[in-house]
Amino acid sequence: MTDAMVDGVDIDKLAAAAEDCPAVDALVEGPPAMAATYLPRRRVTGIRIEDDVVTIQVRLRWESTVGQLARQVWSAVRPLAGGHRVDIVVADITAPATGG
Amino acid sequence: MRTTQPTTTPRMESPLAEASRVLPEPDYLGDVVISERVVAKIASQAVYETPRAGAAAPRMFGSVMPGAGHMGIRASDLAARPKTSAQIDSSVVYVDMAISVRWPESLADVTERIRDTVEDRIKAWTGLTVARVRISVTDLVA
Repeated sequence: MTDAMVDGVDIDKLAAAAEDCPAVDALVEGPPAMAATYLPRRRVTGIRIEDDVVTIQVRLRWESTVGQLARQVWSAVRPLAGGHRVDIVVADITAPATGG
Repeated sequence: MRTTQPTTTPRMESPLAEASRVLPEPDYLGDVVISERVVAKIASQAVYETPRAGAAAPRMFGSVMPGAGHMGIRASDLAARPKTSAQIDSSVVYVDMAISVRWPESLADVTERIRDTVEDRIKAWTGLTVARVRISVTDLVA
């Protein structure tokens, strides 16, 4: 996998940094933001770079708050975002553990 | 000259104002958008955690189908998550849910408890303000 630079941003590093945040279950595509980046022969789910904005669409982990998520994602992703604004879309939340 | 003064002054200022707007604000990091599905799931779980309430009976043409359980269609179930929808209008949330309540619990008591949990949890987890939780009790389960 070669480095995929989109508008000066290493998109794989950015995706990995976002996915490593404890409040993030996964990066997801589909509604509402339809965030995905199409590269030669592959697609990066949940990230779109457009103009001066990086959009990251995630599934929130149950019992994490949106505030925690935003702080984690911004601090992890901002150094990699090359000065782009980082918008966060919380598209879904994981199902809580049943039986409790 | 006096009549033109007020119009020329804003025009002189406007290029500067535009330029300052282009500069990034240091504490603005970006937008956070929360999907309605997230809010609906949080609300739905609050009912699931209440042993006194659960998913509602299936509906047809807007009303409950009596005896649907006997026809093999999913009946009201206290141990299932109710159908829930949410609308978000900027930072305000409207939640709609159809639930069943265990007989003979007080409907006022059960719905108030659910409403409080839904409001508290959505506020705490998403920062959104819950403006309305509309609960339709469509069935009583013995």
